[in-house]
Amino acid sequence: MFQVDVDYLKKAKKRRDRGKVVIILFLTLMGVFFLLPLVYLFCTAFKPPEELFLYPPTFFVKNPTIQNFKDLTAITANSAVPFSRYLFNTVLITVSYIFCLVLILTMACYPLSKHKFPGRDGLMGLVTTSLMFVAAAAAIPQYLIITTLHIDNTYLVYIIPGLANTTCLFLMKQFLDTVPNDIFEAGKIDGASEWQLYTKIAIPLLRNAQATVIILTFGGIWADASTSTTYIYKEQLRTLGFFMNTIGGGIARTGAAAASSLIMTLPSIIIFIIQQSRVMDTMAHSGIK
Amino acid sequence: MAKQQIKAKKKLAHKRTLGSIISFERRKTIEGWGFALPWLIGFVMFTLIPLVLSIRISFFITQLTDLYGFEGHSQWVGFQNYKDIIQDPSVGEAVFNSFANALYQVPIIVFFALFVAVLLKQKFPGRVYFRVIFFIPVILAGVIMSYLFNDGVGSVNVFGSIVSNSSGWMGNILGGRLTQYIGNIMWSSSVEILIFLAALQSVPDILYEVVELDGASAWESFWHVTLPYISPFVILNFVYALVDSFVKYDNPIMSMMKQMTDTGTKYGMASALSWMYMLMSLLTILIFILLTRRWLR
Repeated sequence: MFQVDVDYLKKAKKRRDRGKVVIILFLTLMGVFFLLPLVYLFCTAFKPPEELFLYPPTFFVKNPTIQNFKDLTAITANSAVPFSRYLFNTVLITVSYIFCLVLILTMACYPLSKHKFPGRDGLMGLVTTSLMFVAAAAAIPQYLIITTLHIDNTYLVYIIPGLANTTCLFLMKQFLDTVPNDIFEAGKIDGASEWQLYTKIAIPLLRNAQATVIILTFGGIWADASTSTTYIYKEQLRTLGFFMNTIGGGIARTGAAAASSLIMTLPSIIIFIIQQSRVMDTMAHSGIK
Repeated sequence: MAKQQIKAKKKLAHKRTLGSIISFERRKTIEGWGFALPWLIGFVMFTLIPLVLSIRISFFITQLTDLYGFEGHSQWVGFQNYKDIIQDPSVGEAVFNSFANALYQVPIIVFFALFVAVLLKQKFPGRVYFRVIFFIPVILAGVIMSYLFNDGVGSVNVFGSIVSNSSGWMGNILGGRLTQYIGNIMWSSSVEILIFLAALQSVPDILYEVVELDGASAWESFWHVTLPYISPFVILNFVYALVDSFVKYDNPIMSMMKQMTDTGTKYGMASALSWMYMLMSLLTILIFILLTRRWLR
């Protein structure tokens, strides 16, 4: 009797193991595709000049060199504004932008998902509509508004215009929609105020969505160069992304530019690795189940 | 102790009077809009107003330099910009291409993302690394994807040059255009994979345990547990992928608009085109949402 059970368990385990092997095989095959851009970036950063200008370009590097990185450090040492200032600006802007964004989005999605107030459907319609919004066509009016508000040439211009992010709001609202209303009603019966419902229930339950939003927006704000070019005239207020972009100018610096792209990418990868574990694990402990 | 109690009671009384002054309905309205207000202000300032201003611009023939002073030499032309666009055959072609691309790409992206997400949800060694790998295209989005597609390097046949050493059928297949299309579509599916993964985490394990006890196979439990549970996210991903394909930089209409604004002389026309395109895309999404409403819980 027991013997049979053990046999069955062994078989089941074997089947599961075989399943895992198949899964890993499948994912490796597809993962190769997804790794290609990173491999290309990596290879390009280590290419000597004669390989960088090959036509048609090659994918892999043949004679890797760290000359590009040496050039890059030489350039950063000679920049008009100390390199540390660019780094400080970028870190400050990125951190405050993401903090404000998550706060504003969680606040906005809470009533949109869990309240029935007059005008809600209209507001949601507006959000969905502006998902289609083509940014390029409104660039000029946006410029006019920013200059009228006199927030150009300050740190605010990096942070404020991007806060009204509709894509992320849409995502967050969809996440909150899947949280049962019962949890909020239970809170209400226990006498929680709206603010408490928001801070004690909505925010913890939205950690998943928050991590998603952070991952999605981090790369954009971290490497952003166009805001510095368009709105900032003081070199001290410009960002790392802008500085790295200026390196790209001139054929002699192509190698250094490739190296800088690789370096600019690393923080995004680190943020993703940190945040993704939040995405994966929080749901398991969140009490939704 | 007693004092504190009295204080607390006073506070409560105060609250009650406030509550009775403002009706329940009105309080709900205020709370609803209050929470959304910070976002709404930003949205109105930096999205809605520019959007409305761009309608105005679409009725002018203007140059970039005029726009900064706005009145300048701009010339009111009424619907001329719109007429020009409708009559331009290259615009029609671009619109057709952009919709045709979406039609075949979006379903592939969503199904591929679902497939990968389901696999990634299983427990196996090295799971974390795989999750990172499948998100690389988004992390690199700004930097290298433009390298690969936009700049001079855009002509590089990535897959071709990898297998250039291996000749024969292998090189032919991998170096072909089909592989490039597939690679392109796969690289667009990262966000969808992430959304699906997060959605899959929300399916209670107990449901799987129950159907397993009932003797359901993995396939059956996918159809009867997973899919119904995450159906809103399938719709969400369809919408996301649609929007993404409509506003991606390699979309034919988008590159057309970029050309118009880059030269700086056709700004009115670009505004008109963007409005017409936006309405068309919106209509598509709306129809899609209406058709799939019943899966949206």
